[in-house]
Amino acid sequence: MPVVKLPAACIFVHLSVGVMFMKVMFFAYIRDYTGTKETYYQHCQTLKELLEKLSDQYGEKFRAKIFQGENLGPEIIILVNGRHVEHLAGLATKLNEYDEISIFPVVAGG
Amino acid sequence: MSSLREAEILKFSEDQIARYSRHIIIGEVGSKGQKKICEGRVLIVGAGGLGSPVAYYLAAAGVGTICIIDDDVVDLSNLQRQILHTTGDLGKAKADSARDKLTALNPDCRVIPRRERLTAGNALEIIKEYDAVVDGTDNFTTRFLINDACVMLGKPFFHGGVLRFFGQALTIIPGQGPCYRCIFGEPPVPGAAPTCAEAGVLGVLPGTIGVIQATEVLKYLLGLGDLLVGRLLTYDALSLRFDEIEVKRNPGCPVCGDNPSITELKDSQQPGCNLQHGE
Repeated sequence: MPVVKLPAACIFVHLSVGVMFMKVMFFAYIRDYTGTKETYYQHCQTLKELLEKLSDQYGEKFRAKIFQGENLGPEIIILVNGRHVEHLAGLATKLNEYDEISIFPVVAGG
Repeated sequence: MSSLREAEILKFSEDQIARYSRHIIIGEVGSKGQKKICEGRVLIVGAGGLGSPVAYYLAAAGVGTICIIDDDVVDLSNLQRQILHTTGDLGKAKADSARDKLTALNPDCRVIPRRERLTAGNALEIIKEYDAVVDGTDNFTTRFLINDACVMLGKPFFHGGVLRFFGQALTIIPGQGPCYRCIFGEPPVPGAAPTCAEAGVLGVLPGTIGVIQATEVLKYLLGLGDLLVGRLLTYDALSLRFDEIEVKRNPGCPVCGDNPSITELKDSQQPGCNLQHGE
């Protein structure tokens, strides 16, 4: 299980009510939509559930990059604990407590 | 024995000892390390924004053979970042322009210009001749092709990518970590990912990422340090921050996985984001 450094507030909640957290990290211009490079979320059962919650929080521009209809958007790479979700179960990927999720765009230029 | 005396024994000329003296006096490099660099053979795919700094620094360092493959010609819109080329090179083949600059910088370096595209038909034949392959491409189709060919041949692949204010770098050593396909899956459909022509790129950005790629190549040739294997390095020029994303090999990867389904190269029907190399 990866070791996650939780902010003090998360540790307080965790100790007091036993809530588990996942770490979500954003890179490149995805940060333009989130305004932060990382956040912590209470445990979600699936990747889709997490991405829906993130989209509710960060707004339509974020949602438009993440989703294309019912699928993941083509500009986005999402890793769960370093593995591409395309090689897991896509949006149906099951998430576990303390998972680390990285969201970043594909970069074409050279 | 002094490192410079050792250099004489290794048959470096006086000029070479002077040229490479700042390498030779580094204990971890020395004349033996410089010899490794001078015997190195590197293929750079694309003589554009990334390929320019990579080629300059590897030629300056004394890499013995550098092949530059690019089928494009120099355009005015390239000159904001593609520092191998000058205003006087407009319309000239980028591979030839690169050869002229690199040979002028270091006549020790044998530069092989190839004015063609890397394709499924020629990739294995070309790549097998080199110790290292550098990503200076501007499209996913070629990146996936290089990755697959390098995995099949067991050759190291030094990836870089840039867009707007953002860049990334990763070193792929087959058998030692994830390949490009493990992390990026399949090439995006045409038009899905913005190109530098569409979204722009800060001129200096490919310089930053290209220099990291060149550093990795030299470390690889020297056998020194920790490479960017399993660590996708990301760079945000606006905040001037580097971050690392831990990335893992996918056992189900179609090219480097336990039971690969891609066992021969095929030209993708997807043109990626641009038909040319080294945008």
